[in-house]
Amino acid sequence: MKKILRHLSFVGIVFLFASCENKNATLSEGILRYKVGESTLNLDDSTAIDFMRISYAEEEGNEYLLHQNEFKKSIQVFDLESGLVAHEILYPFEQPLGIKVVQGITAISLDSIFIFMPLSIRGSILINRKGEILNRYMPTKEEDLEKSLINHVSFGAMPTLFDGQNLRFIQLPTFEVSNPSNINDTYKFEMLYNLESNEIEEAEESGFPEFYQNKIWPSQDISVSRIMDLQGRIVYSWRFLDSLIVVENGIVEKMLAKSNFKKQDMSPFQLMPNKVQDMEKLIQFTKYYGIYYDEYRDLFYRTVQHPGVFDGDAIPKEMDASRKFSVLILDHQFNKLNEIVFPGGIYNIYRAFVGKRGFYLPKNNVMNPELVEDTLSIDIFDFTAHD
Amino acid sequence: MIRILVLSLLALSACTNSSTELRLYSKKIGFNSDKATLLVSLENCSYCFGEYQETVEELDKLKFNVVIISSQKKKASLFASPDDNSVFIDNEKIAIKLGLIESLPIIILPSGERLEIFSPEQLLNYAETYVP
Repeated sequence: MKKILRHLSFVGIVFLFASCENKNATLSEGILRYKVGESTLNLDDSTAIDFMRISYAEEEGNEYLLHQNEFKKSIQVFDLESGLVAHEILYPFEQPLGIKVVQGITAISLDSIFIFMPLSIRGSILINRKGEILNRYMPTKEEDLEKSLINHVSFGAMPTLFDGQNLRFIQLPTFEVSNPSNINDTYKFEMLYNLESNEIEEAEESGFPEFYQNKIWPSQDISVSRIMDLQGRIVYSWRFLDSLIVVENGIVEKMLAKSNFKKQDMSPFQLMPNKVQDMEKLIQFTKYYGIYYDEYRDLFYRTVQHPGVFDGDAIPKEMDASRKFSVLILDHQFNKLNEIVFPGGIYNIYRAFVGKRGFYLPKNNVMNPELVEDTLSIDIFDFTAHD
Repeated sequence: MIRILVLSLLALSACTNSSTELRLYSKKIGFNSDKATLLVSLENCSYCFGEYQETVEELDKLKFNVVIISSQKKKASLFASPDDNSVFIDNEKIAIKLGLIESLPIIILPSGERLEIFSPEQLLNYAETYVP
């Protein structure tokens, strides 16, 4: 029996190496030269691989990835070096004080973790590593229920940020976006909740850019990614705009950050599209996805989704996951330094994050043929590695 | 009057199509299409896991089939344990390909009638009303 197990583990190891070689073979030299590491997270039987709600944190030089486990109702703190769960924080989920369904998490440190619920800022909590509630936030209630609903995202490239005074939420419209008259400057995508005054206000500069207004766009692309740098500048990246919108002390500037791979501007629909037309445009055009700030290198990364192949019978999520993407690297003045193209079907562009070692790309892409549900592999890229 | 007749015929034909698709789907997945069937997609509904898991546990599985659509078998099993009797996993996402579900959970009655679910409360309510 021991012999068989030994043989099996040998075969397993050989297979593992072979698959590692195979994985790297699919990455071009242009990518591999920037790959500086890999983190492999061990997922137990109660942890799914999609890792939707995550937040990065550092403590005493160690790197952690916090993951909200919706089955366990816990925040798992993965050590990115060992791949093991260093702590598991059970957060309160029983109503009325706890959060049953979590929309997103933002870790300021391992002892200050914000947990947000869907559709509302009211009821958000701040917990420590013991899972104790440090604060519960109850902004003034609107009399009109509809007005009090805030359809915030709080994950992916639309995280909720803490700027020292406010929690900054990106929200998505709940109105009919295929009605061009709704696409105006009145609606604001960013909401600021002031933790001291307990008031919520809109970020003035976060409305639809002029380019979007009074037109019909693919509905799922009606969103904006936003990040804040160490200087406190707020940077908005719109899906169809080559320029970034940068807000510094109330002054708004457009900074061109165009992908080399964008050959034509996204054109709006002339008439209200059906679902197939909407999806076709969503898949076939080049567009920007996220904006990320690397505080360790004072760089910005902008992800670009290249045109995909549309097939009316295929599953939209799979068509989307198969498309190539690139990462635009910008310095602190938004000068373009480089643009690296990644193959489709390996990395999950929607789960990218930034950490001490650079840009982290999880491989939980639904089309990744090497995906196994017990481990989450993350490739780490330092785009300054050859400077 | 003619308009009503045409609409009724259209509704009936839509029902028949759904019923045929349901039978086709039930054969592929292996469930009994004479029971009401709840489809929950974890593929394109980011909050469905947290929102519906407890409520699905409460459903009377003698009256309901539950099919979880997800390419992740582990995640689907965490949502509800498959038993090849009343709880099934559609990891090839056939329901999406057949157009039986988009994102919100759906109850499909044996007649082919489809009931879209917007909240756990509504799921329980429909369960009581349509599957007494």
